Amino acid sequence: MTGHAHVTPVRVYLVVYVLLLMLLVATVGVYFVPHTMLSPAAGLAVAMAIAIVKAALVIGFFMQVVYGTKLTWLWAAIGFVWLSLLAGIMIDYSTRHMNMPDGSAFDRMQTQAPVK
Amino acid sequence: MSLEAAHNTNIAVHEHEEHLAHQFMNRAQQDESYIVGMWSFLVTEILFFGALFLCYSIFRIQYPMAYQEGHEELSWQLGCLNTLILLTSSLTMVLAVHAAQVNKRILAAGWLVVTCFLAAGFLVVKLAFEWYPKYLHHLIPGVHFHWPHEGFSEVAPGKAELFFGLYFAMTGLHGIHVVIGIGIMGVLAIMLLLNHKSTQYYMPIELAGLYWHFVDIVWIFLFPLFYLIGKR
Amino acid sequence: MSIQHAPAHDASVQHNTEPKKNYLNAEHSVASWLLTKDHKRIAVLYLISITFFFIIGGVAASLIRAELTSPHGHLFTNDGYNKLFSAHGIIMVFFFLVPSIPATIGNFIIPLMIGAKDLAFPRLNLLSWYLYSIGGLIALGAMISGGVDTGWTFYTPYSSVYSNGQVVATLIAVFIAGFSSIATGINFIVTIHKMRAPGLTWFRLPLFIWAHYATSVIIVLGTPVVAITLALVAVERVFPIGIFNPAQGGDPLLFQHMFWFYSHPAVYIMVLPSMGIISEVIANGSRKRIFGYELVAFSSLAIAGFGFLVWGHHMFVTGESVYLAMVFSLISFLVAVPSAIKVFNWTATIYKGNITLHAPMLYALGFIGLFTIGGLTGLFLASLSVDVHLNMTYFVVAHFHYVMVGGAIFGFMAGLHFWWPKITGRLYDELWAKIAAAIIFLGFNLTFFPQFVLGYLGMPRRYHYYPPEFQVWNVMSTAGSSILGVGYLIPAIYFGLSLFYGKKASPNPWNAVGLEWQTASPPPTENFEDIPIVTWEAYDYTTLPDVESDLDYPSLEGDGAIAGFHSGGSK
Repeated sequence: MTGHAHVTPVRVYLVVYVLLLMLLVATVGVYFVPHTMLSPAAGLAVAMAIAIVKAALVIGFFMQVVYGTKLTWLWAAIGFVWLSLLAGIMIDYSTRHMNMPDGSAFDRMQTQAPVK
Repeated sequence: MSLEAAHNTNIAVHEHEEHLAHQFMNRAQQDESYIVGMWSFLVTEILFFGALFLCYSIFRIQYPMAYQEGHEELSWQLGCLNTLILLTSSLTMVLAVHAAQVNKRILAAGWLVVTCFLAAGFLVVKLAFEWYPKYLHHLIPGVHFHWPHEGFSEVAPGKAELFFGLYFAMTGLHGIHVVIGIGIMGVLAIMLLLNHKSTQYYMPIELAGLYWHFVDIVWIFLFPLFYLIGKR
Repeated sequence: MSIQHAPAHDASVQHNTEPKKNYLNAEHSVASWLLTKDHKRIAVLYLISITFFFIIGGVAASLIRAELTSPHGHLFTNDGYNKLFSAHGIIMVFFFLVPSIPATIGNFIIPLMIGAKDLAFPRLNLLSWYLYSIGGLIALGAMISGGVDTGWTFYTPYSSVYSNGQVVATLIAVFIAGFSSIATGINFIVTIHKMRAPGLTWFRLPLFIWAHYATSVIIVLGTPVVAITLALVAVERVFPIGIFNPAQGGDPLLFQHMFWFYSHPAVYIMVLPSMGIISEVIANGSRKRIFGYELVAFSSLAIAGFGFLVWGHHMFVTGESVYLAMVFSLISFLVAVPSAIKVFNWTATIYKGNITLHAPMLYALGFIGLFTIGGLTGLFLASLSVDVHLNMTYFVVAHFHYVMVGGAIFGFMAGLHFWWPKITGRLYDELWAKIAAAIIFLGFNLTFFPQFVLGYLGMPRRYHYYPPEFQVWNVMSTAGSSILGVGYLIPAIYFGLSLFYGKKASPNPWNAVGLEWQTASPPPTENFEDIPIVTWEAYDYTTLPDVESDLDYPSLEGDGAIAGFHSGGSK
């Protein structure tokens, strides 16, 4: 079973695990911050930032990407990059209301003629 | 001519290396192929779950109150417990991979079994303590869906159904991945104990590890998104 | 420079001594085929399966055309007609076009072209075929036991709430086929990254490989999105989770977004491999290196990239944000640039080449013309205002058939003819092949060109009643489809006959460059006796070794051709 693999010391894994647990405590802690101090949107942003850090720790160390080849880096990253392209759908939801009767350019274009 | 020499050494290496599939020239090539192959599979998984996360985000922006009130039916304590279980299982998984890398067969099998038990514990919490009470409260989308299950809510039942639909779809798909993970790790543990030829090479355990960490990452995002929706 | 091609000489010598163990006669049992891990055998299994589905889809197409001969819809009920065109679309898109070239010709040729013994993951390759077959059988079962009337696009909320057909079974079938396609994509990506022969750098790769790399990237990045989308529709039919149901606050446009996020790039899954084949055939038919090799290679990747940014042009009239629609329109125009780069470079390659009009070349020339028409009419549809008039009319039908039949299937036919001697070890009847190519070209244009006119005049798609004024164009289209049908039957006959009566093929019947021509026809199970070492560039036709061609064609430029053939030789 001897391999060419990069053998990470167990100590590194334990440190990462402890960090993950601390971040878990942090994310629950943010949940209990009163909304007068932290708006829901900011709370969500903090929670997501913590989740991204946790995911990065898992990907980097548990999944050994930091020791991986360039090719591994490429394929580990491309999924998230493409997910951001898919998230382009959100643009539709932030601009679609402009199609609606409540004062959109499109709507004016459609109705101005009949409205004498 | 240096290429010729390189080629000849490749052939020589080929003839001597164990656990080398016939289509590869050497172990380095084989190892990186497996890792990149697994990662490109995980890319499909990222987009598979990612599309669901996108649906979640779109409706969360549109119907914040449905999410707010829906999430109060979920127990953050149980979600936190399950996060703890999965993070720990990720640790035991890397310890299994580490043991396999340093050629400790029985230890690797042991850590895999521990990981399996943790995964099973996750499922018990999920099904028995979370999904089953939802069923009792008529919160599973369908003809028996009843909203709110007690008290008064300004959120229309259809939108609450949407929230619970996303909850069950996303945690359900994640749960299916946990079940598949248990299967893979269980089989690998048995093969290790039997000293099967395939697991004399650490790569299958490493690949199972990549899969399992991915399952963990999905949960890392699911937990704050469903259980920790800020109070307004 | 003649030593560069030493392996070719070796291969031809081996051929003459004929030890004759190849992948076809290595083993004969049924299990040796159904449990094979050899990419060549799996490619043959795939070829048989996709031909089967092509026939079913083709029969459905003929029935559609027969129905449309008359404006009154005599043959089918409304419901029956809906199920018929849905069956045609679902089978042709998911069970023929998507796997057609990658899983058959790509599967067979990629390892040979890059000097590998097999794909990186042979078992995954076999699994892919089984998933495809299971998916295909479920789809067939669903169509026999009731069918679906949603169209191949499964638009919600009709598909998720109202339709009464076998929607769930069909969705499951497409879902499974999606995983088969993902398995193929992963396999190709890893193989092309890691399995290339020593010396075969990225810019020495044939363009066929570049095209398949780009295709695989699209498959891996796009398919999971449509898989989860269709899975959600299936779930929504059982549990009213309402994501796509406006009655519950869900959004049908979200379905269209996620569906087209895959299904627009899926067009490139169909046509990019075809473009790869065209590059190989044009280079061989013109006996020249592809003009602007690097541009053609990068244009494949550019198409794969841009292809993911234009999905919204399918939704211009369904209510997406007009501001987003403007962006999508603009990017749709941009995606025409890399496609045009390819067309111009192929044309430039043919210019002053020693042209041999063999059957694959005829298909390739047909491809260039038809793909250009298909692509340019796509620009009409990408224009926001014109699309309001043309959307959901026969103009759209004609446009995408020009791309999918004129593009993907012409490429598939070109590749099938080009590599048929390599796959089977036999030569087909070249004269009949040319006749068939001409018939298919004529039949195709007669079928689909009138549909541009019909669409412009305003005939909507997916209806079987239409005003009698449109009948003349519909009759022309139906007549063309009969000619097209005959055109497809002829290759079936001469390919079939060639298996038994065809002349044995030499390793390199087209006198082509490329590693796949340096091993025997058909290749041995391990592909190469020794892994080749590549020291030359792709399409190095100027230094071609002096190998006797099996097919002695008169060239358009007689003298030049002979000079070109023998310039690198040692006769």
